[in-house]
Amino acid sequence: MKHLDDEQLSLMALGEPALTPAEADHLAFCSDCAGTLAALERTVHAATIDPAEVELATPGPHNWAAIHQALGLSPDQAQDPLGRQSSWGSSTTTTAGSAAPAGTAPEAPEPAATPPTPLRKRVRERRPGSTVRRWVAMAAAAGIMLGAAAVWAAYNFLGQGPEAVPSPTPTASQAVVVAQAPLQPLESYTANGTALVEKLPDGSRRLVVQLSDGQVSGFREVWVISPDLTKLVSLGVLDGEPGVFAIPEGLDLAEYPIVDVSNEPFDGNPGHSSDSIARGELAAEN
Amino acid sequence: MTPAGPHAWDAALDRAFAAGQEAALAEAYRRLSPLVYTLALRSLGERAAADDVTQEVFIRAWKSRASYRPEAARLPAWLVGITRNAIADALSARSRRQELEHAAGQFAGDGLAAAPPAADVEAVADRITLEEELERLGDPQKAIMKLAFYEDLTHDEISSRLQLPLGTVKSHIRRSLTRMRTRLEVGHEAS
Repeated sequence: MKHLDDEQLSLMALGEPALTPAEADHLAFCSDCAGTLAALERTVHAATIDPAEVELATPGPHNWAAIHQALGLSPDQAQDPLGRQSSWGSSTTTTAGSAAPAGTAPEAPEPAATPPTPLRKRVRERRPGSTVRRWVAMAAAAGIMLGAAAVWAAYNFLGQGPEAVPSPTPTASQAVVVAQAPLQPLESYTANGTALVEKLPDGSRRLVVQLSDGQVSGFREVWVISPDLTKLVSLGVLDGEPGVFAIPEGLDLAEYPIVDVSNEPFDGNPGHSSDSIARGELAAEN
Repeated sequence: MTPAGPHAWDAALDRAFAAGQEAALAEAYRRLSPLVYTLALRSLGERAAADDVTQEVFIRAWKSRASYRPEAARLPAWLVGITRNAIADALSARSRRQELEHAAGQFAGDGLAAAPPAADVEAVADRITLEEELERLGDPQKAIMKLAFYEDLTHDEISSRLQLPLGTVKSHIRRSLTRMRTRLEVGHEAS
């Protein structure tokens, strides 16, 4: 599939849902597109950050004293400006006729204690879907793991029932990605990839696992595991790329959000070998 | 203490600074020194070094006020630029010093100070840079991006609000955002 165009990525960075499932698939696998998106998201973040929410350290009074002395400022300015009310507003009003242009009084700056113009602070909350999608894209690019609880709250909220599953494309034959997980290598492995949960038009679900090649001593098996790692269900052997696995009806992925690919020795033991190659947590896609 | 970006900034202050009014320097210090200091603290990790940078920035700014052109940049953006340069200078001076100290078998053990979380402080500085860039975009790009950023409108909503074709809005968003991204990346490479 061709790369996503910058227009789509720009809209996504602004929190607008702009992708078809096929495009979302592409984004999950394409580091170029995910990298561009991450850079645009950083730009949007910087453009929209509310300075009032960022705590800053305050320089000590000796700093102004040093500046005052080095520049030979007038004694009027000896007091640390950080300890004063806005000297600017007061000086422009008290020294009328100085170089300050006329007509600025109504727009005199507010005291420092007043927060700057409120900006959109809660964009992500207002668009509940974008947090998760954004995270998925970032995680795919940067390899971040996230705690299960928050993600699963979102999954349950967004992913339940056919109405909640977005079908942005008119072609009903297409599978819709309802969740995905970036797969990160565990110790001593380097393979990484992505697992997608797709919902087909007939309501069935399947797990599509794509993992970069890595040497394993046995064979690779795909599991879904509970957050506390105490319960697990095997979905099958990962052979070709990508591996496609039916998800049994009735298997609640909210109980098994972790996708795990293990290296299994040919020893006849059907249990998990405890030797995991890569792992990731499913996050809802919307 | 919260920083004030250009959105709450009085252009008269820029002109007064350029004209050499000391009160304007004091006001710029009052509003921007916490940001300057915090950026330095988080890059350099030591209060003494952050003090030096803070003093250096405002001293340098005042001495070169003749080269400051209010019509080309607002004071916050100009000061953030000077701050990035001063931090870069301090870092390279430090690495030269450390090489010498290592050569002499000494190791600096300055008390390190805890700085606020880095990413957001950088983002605040970046926001000041971006607001500058936003002003330069001109309309309708500026109006479009402000609606997208600060009123959280979708491109659909912007299109009907400004009565511009959808495709036009989308391509302005793409070009403007790319330009802002480039502006940030160039700024960081330079520092």
